[in-house]
Amino acid sequence: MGPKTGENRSFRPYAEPAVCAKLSLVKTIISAVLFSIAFSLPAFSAVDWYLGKAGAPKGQSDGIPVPMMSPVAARPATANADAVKDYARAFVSEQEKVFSKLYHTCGYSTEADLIRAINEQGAMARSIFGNDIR
Amino acid sequence: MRVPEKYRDSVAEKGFLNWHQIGASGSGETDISRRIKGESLFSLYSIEDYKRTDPSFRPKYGFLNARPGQVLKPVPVDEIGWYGEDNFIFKLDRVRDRTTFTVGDSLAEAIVVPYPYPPRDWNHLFIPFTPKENRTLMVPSLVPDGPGVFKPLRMGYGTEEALKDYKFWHDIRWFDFVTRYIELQYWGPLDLDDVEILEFHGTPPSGAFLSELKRRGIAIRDARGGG
Repeated sequence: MGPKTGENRSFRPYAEPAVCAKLSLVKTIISAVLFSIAFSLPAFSAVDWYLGKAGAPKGQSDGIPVPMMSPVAARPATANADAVKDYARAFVSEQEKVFSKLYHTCGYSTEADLIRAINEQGAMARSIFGNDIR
Repeated sequence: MRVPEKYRDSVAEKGFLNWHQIGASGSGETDISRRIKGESLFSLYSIEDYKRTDPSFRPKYGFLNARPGQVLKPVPVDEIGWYGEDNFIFKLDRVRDRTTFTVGDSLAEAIVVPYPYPPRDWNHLFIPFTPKENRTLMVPSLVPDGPGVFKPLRMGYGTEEALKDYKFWHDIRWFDFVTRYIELQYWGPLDLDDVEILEFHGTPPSGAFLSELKRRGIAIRDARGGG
């Protein structure tokens, strides 16, 4: 995929936005551990992570590779619905590989942006975690 | 997923079809090149590779709605009702692992916002519905809409550039309109076997279509006058 148009399938390493690029290896490790802990706890821990209380990871310095499937190879030869469904599941799984890296990087440009966004909702935003968003 | 009730027989026979399969959209979208561009952008395909995927693989669009009793406010009928009178609610265990979401209208996003590539932000692609923590990213994009009620309002932009874009589109209000829901994208074939509930807002189901619903044990809800 090219830098802008996505016209080819030659992927370059992810170009880190400057605001998200500065994170030491130690902090990355600590953040990853805390992140894992945060999501192994009840939902309010996730809010704490959002608020930065759990050491929200701010970025990675090694770039984000973009794994891609080959639709030519993976495309079912026939219109077999089950085969297409399998391909769809594989596609979503590949999306997750990319997304998980983006998610850990910088959902917001600064932590302040994120905190402000959360605080706008305040306690009401927290209450949503008490409900299963299905 | 909203579907015009005139397509009931087609749904029973062929399942749920997307733009690529029928050449039309419930939203009135007529430019297939825009849709291909937008979908390829958010699915991380090149346009050429995306065109080589099976049309039945490409997404069918729905939206996330609240179960009764939750703090989320149901998506107002006047905002999605024009997509069709029938609302099909799918069995989560049959679609969960091939469903993605975006906060707001993905096509509008992909078209109007000059996203850089590769993606730099979490909202630059179709987001897998699972694992659950992915869905926590919806939260900052939900704003109160009355006591105890939330409503999706906007994408959770990450970059300053995108924030400026957001302000521009928000200022002209149209952008606000097209982002007031959590959009779902179902990948791969969908048919009545995947349906748990049909909510009809127009004509009650009847005839062969009703028989197909009953045969599959699909619950039927009368949503006329609300919901």
